[in-house]
Formats: sequence, structure tokens, C-alpha cells
Amino acid sequence: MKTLLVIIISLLLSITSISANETSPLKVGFTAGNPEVTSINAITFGPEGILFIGDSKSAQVVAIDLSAHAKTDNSKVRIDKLDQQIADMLGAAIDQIQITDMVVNPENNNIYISVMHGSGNPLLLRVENNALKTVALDNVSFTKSEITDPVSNEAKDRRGRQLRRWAVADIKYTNGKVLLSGLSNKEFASTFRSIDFPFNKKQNYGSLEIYHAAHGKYETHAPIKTFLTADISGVTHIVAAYTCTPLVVFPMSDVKPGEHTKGRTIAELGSGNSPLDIVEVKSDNAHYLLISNSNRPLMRLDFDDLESFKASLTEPVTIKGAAVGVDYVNMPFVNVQQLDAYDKGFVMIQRESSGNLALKHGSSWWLSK
Amino acid sequence: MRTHFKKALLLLLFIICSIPEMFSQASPEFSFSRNHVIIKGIDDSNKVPKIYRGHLLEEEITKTRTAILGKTIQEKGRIRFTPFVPFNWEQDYTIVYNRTYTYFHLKIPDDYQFISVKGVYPSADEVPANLLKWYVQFSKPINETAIYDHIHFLNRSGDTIPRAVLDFTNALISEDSKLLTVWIEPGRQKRDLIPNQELGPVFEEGKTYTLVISGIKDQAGVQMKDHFTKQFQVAKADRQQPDIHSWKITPPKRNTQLQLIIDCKESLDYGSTIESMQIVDSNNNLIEGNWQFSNKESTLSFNPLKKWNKESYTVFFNPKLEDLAGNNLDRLFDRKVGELSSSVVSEYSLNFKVQ
Repeated sequence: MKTLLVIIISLLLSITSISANETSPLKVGFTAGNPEVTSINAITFGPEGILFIGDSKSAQVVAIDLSAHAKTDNSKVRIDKLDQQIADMLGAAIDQIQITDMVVNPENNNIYISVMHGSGNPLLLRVENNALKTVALDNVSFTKSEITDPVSNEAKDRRGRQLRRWAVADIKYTNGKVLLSGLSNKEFASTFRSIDFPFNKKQNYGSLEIYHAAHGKYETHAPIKTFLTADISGVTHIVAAYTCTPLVVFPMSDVKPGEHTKGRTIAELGSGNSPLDIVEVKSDNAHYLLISNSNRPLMRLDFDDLESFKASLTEPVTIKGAAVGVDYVNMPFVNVQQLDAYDKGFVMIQRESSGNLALKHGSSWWLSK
Repeated sequence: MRTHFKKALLLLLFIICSIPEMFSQASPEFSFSRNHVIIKGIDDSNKVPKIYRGHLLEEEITKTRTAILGKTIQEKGRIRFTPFVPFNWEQDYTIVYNRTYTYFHLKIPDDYQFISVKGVYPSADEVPANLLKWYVQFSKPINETAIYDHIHFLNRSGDTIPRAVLDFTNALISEDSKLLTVWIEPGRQKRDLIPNQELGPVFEEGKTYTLVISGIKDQAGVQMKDHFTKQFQVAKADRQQPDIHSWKITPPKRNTQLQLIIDCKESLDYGSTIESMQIVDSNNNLIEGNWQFSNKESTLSFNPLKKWNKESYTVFFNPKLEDLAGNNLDRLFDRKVGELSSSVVSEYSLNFKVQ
């Protein structure tokens, strides 16, 4: 009887140890080493602590396993003079550094900030006890995929120069797909692409067209500044904010490879304004979209309003500077440059009226009903 | 007595011999370059130097002051610190090593090649009122940080035109980091958008403006010395698509390496055009060579690498080739509802014969 018990316990233990050592299907292709990231334009977290980096210079998307960073509490995060601190770390002047993105790993509350130095060197930072720590990118567990360029593939000149440069504007992960929106240095348009993850050879790209509500007579091409994917009335949608401020929704299923997809404009957020970041936040009884802007305060849109707004704005906005479409609330945060959801609240990088650039939390109080 | 003298002499000799060692311990040697700080003449290489931006006093180096990122390699008798990014010219730095403070400042070399603007496109002195893009060619790779803050347009009174340039977070820059794309605010240039209705187009027909580029730094953090300015006049808006069939081809002579010349009748957009043509011979072989713009980007010329030895050739044009107002071969930039082109890409080509 004793022997049988020992055998059963041993078996159970061995099964447990196998499952503990088993690589998750998402990380099967990961290898240790240097992914040679040469620029960080945008970052986003997928599941299991995988950080996706949009690297325009090397025309690649890199997935890095950051799950080893321990769960932390950044609910009271506060770092003042963030730009000065980063400049100090690099021995550089403040005008030589640029914060390109800031994200929170929703699984362990770590905050990451991506930075580009004027020499073209990228840097990834992690917040630890209100201090900045570097995340080494030269020896990590990673996998990556080239971003194939539809334009340059069709026409590369004989000396092999890249004809068109495609700059990643935003990157998101949803249900086994990495989605990227990008800008071209040659055409005023937005290319949107979807890359399967785990990476394979398949890449789809298309362009997302909009009808500009402010634009009575003319259709328009415009670049997407920031976007996310969200469940609206049970269907996965892309919610995209354009440089000329309309907020447009596209059902994911409508976005077909190589085709123009026309979206439904649901809001104009005021002229003279450019959206900077858009995130989805959920608290106990509320579900919101938050949008930070270049020339408007932080905006809060209720998902209930978003779902009940079935129309598409096709008429010109006649009142100057007016915002129309889905209702939103202006929050008392201006000059919010970077934004992400944090637990039931949010974190942001804000240029305060004193000139101080602060990384700080936004209380969930603003998001409760 | 003699023994005492001997002992004293030996002690003196010992002290004299020890002086260099004592001195070397007290005064390690520092050398600096943009890529390294090297500390020599040390007996304990386990002490790690910390380097800070600025000329800092002891009381200024608090716990919250961040040291410069870099790698420290400790070897026998020397330490080498390599910063994550090279040190700046003309910037003060402080080294704290073994409780001593040392300062350094790298002077910019006398023969330093300062960054400058080599040219801008369009190069013409007259542009259409609905001009969409400028391209700025720099002499060396630029510091891309907040690049669009350094580009302004002034009206005749010298006032800066507000919201003239579209500000992207990430600079739209060529792969060599030397050709910058600048979008004139499309919301103002495109008819009937709110910015267009409220502020009007950026440029008004018949008026004169000045493009000013100033304060741009190179990748080493050194700022351009002189402002770049270009004055231009604004003509009527261009609302016609470029039509390749109205272009005039001057074919080269057979068995020569002479240029093929195409007169495009209007200035074209530099970035979308210069690399958007291909020539094939009658057997569909690609002809290798270089394209160039001249005559204010209204004439294209092609220099082949080999002689023209076939009778007929075809030039293919990318449908996205644009004029100065963003109108391409497929569509007008600013077009009426319902004129959205299909996803099928048309083919644009011109044939020519070589005699």
C-alpha cells in the first residue's frame, strides 16, 4: 500500500513538473539572444507577458518575453521630471530624447517606457519603486517577424534602396494577431496590417478608408494616429483615431487583405486637435474609452453610448470647433502625452502646467459610475 | 652609530621608492573620448566609477540623481567605461571615482562638419496653393526628436503661420536619416475640412512666404550653425491629376549611353516620383541606371548603365507618383464622394523607340 502511494505521488509530481516546464504554445518559437531592435516606435502587451515592439528602422515586429518581471504595485506611481531623468541616464540634452510609448503589462502591473535617443539608439525602461530601470534588449527570449512592405516589394530600385519608408504609428495585439497601423513618408494614407502570432509567413495588409464627417463633399485618405481593438455589441471592432480627429469603427471581419475598408465615423473630436493615445478601461460597473489629445483634454467615452450609437457621421460639422457624434466627457487632465489602462484606473505621462513632465496614476474614481 | 645611519638611509630609500606608488593611488589617470572614459593607474579595479551629466558638486549628487548608463570593464590596473550613447560635445560631465570628483568637457573639433540643409523640394520659386509636402535634404543624419518644431513658415510680415506643418510623433525620414518629409497640414489644404474652413488654407494664392529651418541637431547633438531659408510665391491651386500621356519623351540614340529625357510639363513631388519608374526593353528585361530630376523637378532623366541596344522600350510609372498637390496618376488628392478608386491598381506606361 505504501509503495502504491509513493508511486502515485511520484507520478503526480512528475506530471506537475512536466506541465511547469512545458513551453506555452505562444512561446514555442522564442529563442534567447539579441533581437537587434534598432528603433522602438510603439509597444503593446499581448498575453503571458509578451511585449510587442514595432521597430520601423529594422522593419520588424519583435515579441519579447517579459513575464519574468515580478508582479508589482504601481498604483501610486509618481516620477517627476521624467524627461530630465531619462536625459541624465543617457548623458544627453533633453531635446535629444523622445518618449515614444508607455505601456502597462496588465498581468503584473509593470510599467514600461520606450525611448529613442537622437543618435537613433532605442532604450526600454521599466518602473521600479518610482525609479527607472533599463530593460536589456541584447539578451532576451524573443521571436520576430519582418514587416513586408507592399510598396517597396513591388518596386525596389536597382541599387536596392528602400523606396518608401513605413513608420509604425501604433501596434496592438488581439486574438492571435498583431495589428499595426503605419504612416508612409511618401503618401498621405494609412496602411493597416495584421500579422498572425505566433509568427508565420502570412501577413495581410490593407488600407482603412474613412468618410470625413467634417468634409461635406470629399472623401479622404488620412493616416491613423492611434487605434485599439474592442468588443462593441459582441463584435470585435477596430476603433481608430485619425490625425484629423474623427473616431472611426471598423468590424474586424470587414478588414480584408489588400482592400480598402470603409469605416463608420462615430465622432468628431474637435478641429485643430490630434489624438495621441486611445485605451479601454474597465472598472466594476463602468466601461470606457479614454483618448488623450494634442489640443484637447483627456476624453472619456462610455461604451454604452458607443454601442447605442448606430449612425455614421456623414454631414459636415457646421459649428466651428464643435465635437459631434458619440458623447464624451472632458476629464481634468490636459497635455496627456502617453496613456494606458492600469487595473481599474489608468497611468499617464502628462506635461503639467508647471512644465514638469510626470509619470503618474489616474485614480479609478474618475472611472466609477 | 653607523648601524643607525644605515637604518635611516634604508628607511629614506624605502620612503622615496614608495612615493610614486602612493602618488599613483591618490591620482588615477583619466582619459576621455566620446565613446570611453578610461581610468588608469589604479590598484583596485573593483571600484566602479559613476558618471553624471553636468558639472556637479558633491551635495548635488543625491540619491535621486541618475548616473549615465553604460558598460564598465575592469581590467588589471585600468577601468574602461563605455556610455550607452556617445558623450556629447561641449557638455559638462562629472566622474565620481573613489570619492574623488573629476570633470570633463569634450571640445568640438575645429574641423567639425556642422549639419546643414543641402536642398529642399520643391526647388521651384513658385508652388501651387494646395502644396502638400516639402522634402528637406540634410548633409548628415539628423536628431529626429521633435523635428517638426524646427520647421516654420513665415508670411510677408515675418509672422509664423500657425498649424502649417503636420506634427508626427515619429519623424518621417528616409532610411539614411537625411531626407525629411514635411506635410503641410492636410486638414487646412483639403477643401471643406474644419481647419480649412476655420483657418483657411496654409498658403494663399498670390502671396509670398518663407520656409525657415533652424536649430536642428545632428545625431551627435550638435546644432546647425545657420538658419536655412527659402522664399517662394504661391500660385493657383492644382486640381488636375498628372497625365503621363501629355509628357514629352526625348529618346536617346541607339548604341549610345545617352540620357532618356522626359518633360513632365509640371513640377512633380520629389519623394513619390524619383524612385517610382522602371524601364524595360521589348524582351521585358529591366534596364539598369539612375533617375534624376532637373528643371525644378519637372524634367526626369535616366542615365543607363549600359548602351541602348534594342529598338523599343517601355517606361512604367508607379500609380502613386504625385504632383506637388498630392494628386497621383490614379486619383485627385481632393476628390468628390463616389470617385473612390477601386483596389485594382492601374498600369501606367509610355513606350519609346530608339533609333
